[in-house]
Amino acid sequence: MKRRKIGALFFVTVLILTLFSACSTGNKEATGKNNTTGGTVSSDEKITLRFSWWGGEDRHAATIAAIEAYKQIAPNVTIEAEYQGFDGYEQKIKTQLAGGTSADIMQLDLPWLQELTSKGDFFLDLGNSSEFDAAGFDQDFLNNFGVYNDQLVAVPTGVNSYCMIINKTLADKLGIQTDVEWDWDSIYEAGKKLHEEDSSKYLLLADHAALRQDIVTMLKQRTGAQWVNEDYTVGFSKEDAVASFEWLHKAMEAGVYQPIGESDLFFGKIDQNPKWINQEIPMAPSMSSTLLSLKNVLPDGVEIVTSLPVIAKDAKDTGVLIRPSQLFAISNKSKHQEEASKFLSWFMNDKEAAAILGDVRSVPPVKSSQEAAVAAGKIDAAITNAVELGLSHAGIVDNSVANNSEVQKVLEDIIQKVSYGKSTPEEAADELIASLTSKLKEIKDRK
Amino acid sequence: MSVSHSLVGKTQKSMKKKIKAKKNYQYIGLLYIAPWIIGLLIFQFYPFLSSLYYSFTDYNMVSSAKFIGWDNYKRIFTADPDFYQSLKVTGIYVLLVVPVKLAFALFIAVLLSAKLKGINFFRTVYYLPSILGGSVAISVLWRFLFMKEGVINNMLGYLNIGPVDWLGSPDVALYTLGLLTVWQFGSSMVLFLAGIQQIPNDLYEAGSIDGASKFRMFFKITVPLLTPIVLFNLVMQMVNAFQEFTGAFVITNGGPMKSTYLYALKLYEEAFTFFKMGYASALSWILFLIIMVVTAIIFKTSNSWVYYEDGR
Amino acid sequence: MRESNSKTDSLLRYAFLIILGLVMVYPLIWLFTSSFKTNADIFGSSKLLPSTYVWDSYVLGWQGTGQYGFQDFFINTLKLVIPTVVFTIISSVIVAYGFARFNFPFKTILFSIMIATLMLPNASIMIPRYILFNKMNWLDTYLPFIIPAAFATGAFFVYMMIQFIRGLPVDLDEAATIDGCNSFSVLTRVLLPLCKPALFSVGIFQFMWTWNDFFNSIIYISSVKKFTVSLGLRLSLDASSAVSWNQVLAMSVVSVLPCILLFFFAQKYFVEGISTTGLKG
Repeated sequence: MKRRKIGALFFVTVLILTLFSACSTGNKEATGKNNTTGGTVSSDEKITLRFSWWGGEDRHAATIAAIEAYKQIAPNVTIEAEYQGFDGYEQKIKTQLAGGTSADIMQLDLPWLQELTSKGDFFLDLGNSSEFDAAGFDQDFLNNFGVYNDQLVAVPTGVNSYCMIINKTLADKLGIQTDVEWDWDSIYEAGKKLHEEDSSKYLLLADHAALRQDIVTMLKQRTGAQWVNEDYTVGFSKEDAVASFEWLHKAMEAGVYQPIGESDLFFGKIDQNPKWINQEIPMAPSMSSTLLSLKNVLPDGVEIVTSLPVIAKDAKDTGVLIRPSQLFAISNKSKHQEEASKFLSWFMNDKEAAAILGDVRSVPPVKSSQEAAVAAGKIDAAITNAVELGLSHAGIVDNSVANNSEVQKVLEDIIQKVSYGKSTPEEAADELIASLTSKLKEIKDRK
Repeated sequence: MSVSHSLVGKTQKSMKKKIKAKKNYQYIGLLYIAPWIIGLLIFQFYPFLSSLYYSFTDYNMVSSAKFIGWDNYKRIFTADPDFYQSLKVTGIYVLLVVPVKLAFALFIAVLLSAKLKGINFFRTVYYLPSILGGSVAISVLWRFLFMKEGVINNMLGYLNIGPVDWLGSPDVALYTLGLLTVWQFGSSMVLFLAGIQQIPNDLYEAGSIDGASKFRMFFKITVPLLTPIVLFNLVMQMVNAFQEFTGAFVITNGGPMKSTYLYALKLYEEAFTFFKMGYASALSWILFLIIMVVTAIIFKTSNSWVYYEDGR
Repeated sequence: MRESNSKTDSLLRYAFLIILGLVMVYPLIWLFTSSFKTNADIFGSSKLLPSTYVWDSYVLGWQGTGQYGFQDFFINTLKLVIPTVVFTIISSVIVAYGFARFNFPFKTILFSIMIATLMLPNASIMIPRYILFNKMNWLDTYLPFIIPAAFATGAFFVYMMIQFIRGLPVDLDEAATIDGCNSFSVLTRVLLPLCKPALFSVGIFQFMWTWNDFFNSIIYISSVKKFTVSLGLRLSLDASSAVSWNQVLAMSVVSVLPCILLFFFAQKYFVEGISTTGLKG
């Protein structure tokens, strides 16, 4: 009894299929919408700006407090806060940019900028904005990281340094030195020893992004050069890759790192990792901007210090990464570009703002703000220490190709295979070079 | 309860009615279905066709679409290892989840078909997970339950098993997600239950007079008579399973090591994080074709395993 | 139905059904009790009940940490769900009436097309739809949910209604027509009151699906001000530091509560609806 209907249904499906596949013309896509440029706004007109960022709870609280404080300065401006954790933020922000529904002011991660600026024109040129004051920034820092296609599309939110974040209270208890300069051998030995003594403990906390940074550091320390070159070629040899992966493989086997299967569930939110919260892992190689959230999940009285990241004994370059914590950009689709620029300028330069924000995005990039935040006692000494150590040991600055998120993803995928023991270092090195070469070519061709 | 019988009983009647009334047209009917036709054209046909067009373009929503012929398809098949990975993961997922879910649903439906006291209560309990479906809350719950430190491992600890790395191991994570889907077997179960209630009692009576065991009757009477519903469930669950998204996105975000990188995630990522709308459209067409081929195969083979009661 | 219900047989059945039932609902019960637990209890322990009760998780979780809390997310969700449900009911009943009671050219093929769209994977039209809605300036509004609903794009619901209306005797229509009703008032005066159960089923299903929907929400809604409960929950999962897991669980409970309540109060319609057409899971 049902047969006829099902038969008919199938017939129709096939019919639709053939009908559609025979028809290959579509409709031409209209060109992008015109940008609405921000008009001038009289000071009593009510304006709403959307401001989006990611972070932990301290960053949220401090940023919202700063937004509240801005109400005193510009009572007609309401700022809607849109914040979340890191995981999923990238997808969200890019979806919004593509759909033209992004916030007026948005926090971006460095790797996305190269990709975004190559795809389209999304951001206001802050260098041309009369409302935004960029004079207080270190101009090299600004040029290295904020300028794309000769436009200042984004400004650094803070100076961020890769460092070792250490739970000193726990480290002392476990007999791990906190004032040494680690090299890859010594940290391996210390981690191995710790895990052998107590199998529930691991020396290092990391997600796949942190592991990627460790491998990149290792590569740079071996070659003394960029790991991918400006001309879209691979910057290291197979031997370099094999050696780096061999170290990673052996460190994973020995329990120097928490197994990636456990830690990667907390990708982008390592402060949620139960092993860190329960104080079973004393050290996290991470950016200084994550220090606060890592600190705040621990009980009061736990001391957090920082030290230099791992540097090989015979390093040709320290590989120590100094980069903006994140960047702020203003959408060129914003209806209130002037007001947004005004707010951002206040947010970055004003002393009161700096005192409220403190170190929630690591050390402020504007000198006067830095001083104001220090004077207000709002910068953690451990962060200052990390940034100072970083600046004095800074390695070469990554080029924009190395900061491309698609390129980084290639490396991350292969690191995962090594971490899970699914690829030998040898296989992984071959695959890395092959995949990188093809991805770099793809990106180059797209330009 | 007239509605619940209709799946099995009503179609035939309506067929006959239609044939009878074919002579004079009542054009006002078109007016009533006009909203649907408009919706179909704008929200289904147009997107469907334009997705085919976009699949031959390079389009990032910012600059206008550029026609590039078969390039997207070429790249998908020759230069995108993630495509094969997501295809593999999705294939395993579908092959695993759909049969297990249906078998489970059928088994429970048979158990529940007996006239026991409180059967409605059990039906409610078993159906409960299904109504929460793909909600984020359930994904959050799953993440908590199956974390390394989570309650499942703590319970297994009492039995001296584990701890199992439910979500962290690339060999296990997909099955943990599959379990979430199987857990929601309720709607298939209710359908089977409705079907079983349509089976005339005298068939079983005749069976027991012939001395057939219950086991035998299940396979000789219940199963064959339910095959049309099996077919329906199979197709719908298959189409859904191919597009599963929320669980893999919220719980594991495709990881570990892309072991839960389902096709829908790949599609989402290409479209909405890399803006490759053309490329993603090509991916979506490949998915569409796969689903159509699988559906066609199911329907083709259904002639040999679906039992149609003639002249009922 | 079956004759041979021996005692042991039914005991075994019960035992099995009870154990399985426990396994089925255990996660949900755990979700509820754990919303009162401390972090240490959520992770370190396998006990169902908290060892120390945390009572403020619901209040704190409801408030959220920033400018928008779950109250906003709930109101937003209602703003999205209610029009979607109402339009779905209206449009499907009208279209179903057309299909069930009238004869018009291409009826069979149109009907078959509708059945075919039941199987059309959402994934294959999602991208152009997004582009289309972008052009219409509908992104970051609830229109991508509401407007398609007004045009009866939920073939499932139309099919469900058609099946139901076909089950109602035609004599009623004919009697009403003789009494001078036009075809529309036949629908509103005669059929609609009889359709109540089916209308409920359609409404309830659409409510649940829209309420729980995550994929479309994440694509179409971007500003936190307009976030639905699904998105808000995902937000709190990401944004909370590890201190407040019970709040995340508490809000998970709150977010599924409307569906669970609806389910218990309207169980009959569920089962009927699902047996009529039997879709989704």
